[in-house]
Amino acid sequence: MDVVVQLGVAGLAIGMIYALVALGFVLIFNAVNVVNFAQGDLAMFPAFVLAFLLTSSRLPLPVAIVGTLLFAVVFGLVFNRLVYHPLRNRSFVPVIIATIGVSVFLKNIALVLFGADPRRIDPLIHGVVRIFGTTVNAQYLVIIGVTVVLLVAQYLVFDRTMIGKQLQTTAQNREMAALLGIRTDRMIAVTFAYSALLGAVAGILVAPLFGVTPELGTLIALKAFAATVIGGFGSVPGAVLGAVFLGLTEIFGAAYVSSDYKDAFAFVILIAVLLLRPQGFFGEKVGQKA
Amino acid sequence: MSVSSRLLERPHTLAALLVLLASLPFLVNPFYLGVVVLGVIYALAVLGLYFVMGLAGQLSLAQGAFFGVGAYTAAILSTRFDWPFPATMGATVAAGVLVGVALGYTTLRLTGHYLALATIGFAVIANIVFLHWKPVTNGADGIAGVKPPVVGGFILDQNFFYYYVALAFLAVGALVGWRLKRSRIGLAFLAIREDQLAASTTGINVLNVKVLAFTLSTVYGAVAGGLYAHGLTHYISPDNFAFELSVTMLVMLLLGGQATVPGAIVGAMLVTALPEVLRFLDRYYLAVYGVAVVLLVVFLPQGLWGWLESAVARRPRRLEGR
Repeated sequence: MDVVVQLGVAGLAIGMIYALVALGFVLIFNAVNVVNFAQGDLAMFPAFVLAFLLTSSRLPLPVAIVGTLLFAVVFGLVFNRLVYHPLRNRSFVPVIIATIGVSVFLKNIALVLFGADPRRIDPLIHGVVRIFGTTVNAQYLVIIGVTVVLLVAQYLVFDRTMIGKQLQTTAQNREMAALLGIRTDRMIAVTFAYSALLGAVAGILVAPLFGVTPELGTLIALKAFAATVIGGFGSVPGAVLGAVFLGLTEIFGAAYVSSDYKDAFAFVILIAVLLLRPQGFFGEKVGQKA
Repeated sequence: MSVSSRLLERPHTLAALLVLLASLPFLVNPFYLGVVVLGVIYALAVLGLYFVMGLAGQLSLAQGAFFGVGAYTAAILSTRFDWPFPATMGATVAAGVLVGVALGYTTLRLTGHYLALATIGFAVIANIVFLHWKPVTNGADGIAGVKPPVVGGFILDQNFFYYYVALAFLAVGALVGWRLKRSRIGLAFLAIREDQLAASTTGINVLNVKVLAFTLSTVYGAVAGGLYAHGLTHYISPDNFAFELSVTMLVMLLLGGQATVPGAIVGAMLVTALPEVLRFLDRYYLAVYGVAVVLLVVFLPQGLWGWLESAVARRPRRLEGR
């Protein structure tokens, strides 16, 4: 029983990390109909920035975190302006390949600047916490707590505020939104900035668990990507539930089935979902069958 | 603007390119012969992408993994079961067909990003299997000692001779690709790229035609992988077939211009030579490469040759859209 609780908390926490990156995918996909292949590196690179601010600049942790988040927002805006914006009227293939180019750039510039050795970041809260009569790593609870708060805040902003409604309108129908006087280019820029912010939060939260390496983003992004398909591409609740489902499957699978093939579970499920229910658990019906 | 008016579409261009390739080992510094062999092998795999992406307009992100499947097929049959070169190459074709048909029929029923998604899934699983299925793939240590082809008792293990083996495969592949584009099948590919619904109303079986384009790509990829295993260092390991290879192959196709055979070949040769040319960048090479990919799609949508061509021809562009 103790083990099940520990694995459950760990799986939930990993799932939350995937969920943050998956949301970045979904928001950009809904806004501009393109998969951003650099989403994982938008988690990896800020994690390096945080490690750098903490160790080299010796900033206190809260200042370093704020600095990292600011960096992410600016990066998201620049990314939109220099990579997405020039390609906005082209088909999705060039845009996807451009985002892959950004991913290759971020990974390798991180390798040059920070090296291949994993950087350790101290957990936000040290030690362990007792719940349900067993002990769990406090960082897992921090991850779960921060993500839940962020998700609730995101829901409130999107559902209750003017900017949230403008963002949603832009995602649903860009021409219509423009006709209504919404500055759609600005909304898309906000979407990129927010997606980069979500990535940075994921990177900051996961860094104490795994250590930061240039490859950190790749595997997280691929899992998050699988999660969005499993949950239903384009669906926000689908992405979150798909991510949690994957996180739990992975942790329990590694414990009870095979740890060598831990990273393959997500993709076996991905292909099974594509075969049996391509719209995912929460997705709308996939249109236009060939 | 008719298709045949373009320089890259003329048969002379392809013929000249093949002649140039045939004389290449005499023109380059022997030190770089290995790079040239690799370029020709990659060119064959990139020709596969030309079918599925260039002509049929479907984004596949696992060409490097199909390359790996072929390489492992050839390497295992050659080292464990002593199959000769022609037999292992036949097996790579079979492996390519198997993967293409199985993955194609399951994912190409759907439009949109689903092939891209499923191929990413396949690429990741393939690499995990290469790495962890130790009894068969020998894990991270890889497989060494893949046997070179033998012709009339003569062992073709030197790069100079192996180059012509690889070039023979590329020439056949290029001619098939060339003929196919001008056949009904090729027109069906193009029709699907432009508009699936419209294509289906003209009597094209969209699913079958898409699966055919995809299977051609997996077969070309797997055969090229087989060539890779049998030549060069006669050694393969999972690192050789990482996701980056799939990306690089896409870049090769885009650089050359997506929808022409000579473009695909030239793109592959140039990108393969790039690390040698840009050696002075040292550690920054891959970072610069990433930026170059972005610049390529932003500024050269028609690829290098498309750009050169329009620069040379100086067509009055305003008229084209009408």
